[in-house]
Amino acid sequence: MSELLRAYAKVAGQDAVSKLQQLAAPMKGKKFVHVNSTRVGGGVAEILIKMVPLMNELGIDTSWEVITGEDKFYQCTKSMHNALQGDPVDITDDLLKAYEETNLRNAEELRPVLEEADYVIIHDPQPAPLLSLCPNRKGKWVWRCHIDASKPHPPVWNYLSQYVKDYDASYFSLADYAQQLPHTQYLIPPSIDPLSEKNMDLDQSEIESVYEEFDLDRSRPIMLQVSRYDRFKDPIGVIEAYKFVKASMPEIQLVLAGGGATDDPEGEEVLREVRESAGNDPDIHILLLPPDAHVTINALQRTSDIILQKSLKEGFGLTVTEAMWKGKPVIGGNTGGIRLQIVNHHTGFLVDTPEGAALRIQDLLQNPDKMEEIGKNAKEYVRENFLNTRHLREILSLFTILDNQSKT
Amino acid sequence: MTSKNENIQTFQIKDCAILNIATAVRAQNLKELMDQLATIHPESIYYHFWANKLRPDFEKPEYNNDFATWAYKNLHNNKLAESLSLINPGMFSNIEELRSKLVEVIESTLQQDPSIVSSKESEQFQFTRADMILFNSEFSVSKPEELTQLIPILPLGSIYFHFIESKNGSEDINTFVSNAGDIYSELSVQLSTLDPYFFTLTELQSRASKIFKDFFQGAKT
Repeated sequence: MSELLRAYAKVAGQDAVSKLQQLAAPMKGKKFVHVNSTRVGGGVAEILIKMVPLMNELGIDTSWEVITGEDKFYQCTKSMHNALQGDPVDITDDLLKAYEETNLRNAEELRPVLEEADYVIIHDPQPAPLLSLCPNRKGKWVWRCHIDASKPHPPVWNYLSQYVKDYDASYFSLADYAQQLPHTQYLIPPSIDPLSEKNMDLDQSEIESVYEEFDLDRSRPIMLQVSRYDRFKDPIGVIEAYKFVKASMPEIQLVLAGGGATDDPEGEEVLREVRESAGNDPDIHILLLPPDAHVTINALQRTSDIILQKSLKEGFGLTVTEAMWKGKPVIGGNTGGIRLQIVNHHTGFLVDTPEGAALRIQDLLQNPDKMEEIGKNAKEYVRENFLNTRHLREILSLFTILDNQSKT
Repeated sequence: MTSKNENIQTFQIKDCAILNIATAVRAQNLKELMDQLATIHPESIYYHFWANKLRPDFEKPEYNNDFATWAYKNLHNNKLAESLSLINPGMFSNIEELRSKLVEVIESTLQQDPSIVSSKESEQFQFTRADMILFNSEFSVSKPEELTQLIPILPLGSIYFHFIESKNGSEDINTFVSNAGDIYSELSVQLSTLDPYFFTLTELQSRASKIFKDFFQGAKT
């Protein structure tokens, strides 16, 4: 067994790696391609950065292709993302034209790789039309929707589904997100990589370096939310919760740590709103981190006492998984994939309002034993359910099932 | 008493994992649940009685199947939850009979109280089914005695596969035991009294371990 697989076995268990090897054996040497729209920033890129080498280590010839576009393309796909999450956004014909042309241009470049591949996963709406642009494809194609599409804006879903319906299968994080489609819709939650810079164990000195770097007082409690500056992540709601807590616990500090994804044009506007809401409070630290600040985020999560992910909509919420993996109690918005991870009162708390978040923060800070117990539960829950070994096992299972269906 | 020990075959222990499938069929109230139950894919009914056992949980579920749990948690109908939970799938010879019983219980509840109580939109009943993937494990046995040490350390996927999914089939542990010879017939009888519907997988593992331990330790004394 290679060093990498041994490292995974050490964290996730030998059994988890043995299952991956069994599933990968018939796929050895076959070509597997992932396609998405950004190589850095956002949950999809983070998953693929670690999953692609793991798949290669298992003997599957795996590559990761990224489609590129201009401003109008990203405006269109951001609107599409918001519309799938339920915003009644209508997308102009001009933007849809940019979407189609961008996919056509990318298809010209990627067609040889994609048509030759045995297995293809197209991530999210951005590259969804590629299937229709690869008429001589020989492999199995699966569309992966990372978004909470439980109540999509109908005109946008109707437009997108014309591209999605012809895939061999699709998969979603939760049953709520599945739509009426003519193929099988599997349920595969995403995952974190326990060996990545964002999740690996750190030296105490690395952890403590963030106190100085961000002017945090190590003697006072810290609450943290790590997320892009996006309205659906409700950073303003987090500031409101902080203000409620501050009224009775003036020692509390808040860190909002975010960055931008290259496919998110709204980030700067939301960041302005967040700064406005924070005012001049010296205990609110608004950080704009580069996309590769993985060790910094890891250290911030480990130094914080309580972690929030107070999203109003959340496809899954990998920051929740990351925090739980570090044994931290997480207070999450009662929505989407957060509900799959937080077993209320056991691995964290689910809340619907800033007031609810404030209540749980105060409750936890008053009860260190409870914090420890919830943190311990949370870590084990992630080990069993949300590491990338489980995630890859399910992806390989899906393609095994598709292969078997073709044989019968 | 005859023994077939000399004919015993190796019994390969397997592990399994399920891959959940969304049907995109949902119910928000009891009437919808009943209507959808009438036509839903039979594998979905099976799933909601058994696959919950493979889900991680911090507490023993209040009720034994997903229909009862939903009635309790989301419709706040405890009476119905109790009636649904009492439906033991092991008592039905096929899924269609089980489906009829579920519909009958819900229909009777609706006749007594036709008022429609709806769950929150975000807490609809999501009809799900699953595909199963089997894995070889490192374990195999040639005699039932060897299971005494093995059962307590098997992964829960193996417990699920050999006690529930393979029930009465060639890969049912009890089939292996009963085929191993008349000297194991009492062990087989005891195993057949285990009704997996009423246990979590951890409980089932613990009960089965105790049956094996008692049988073989008793045999030694």
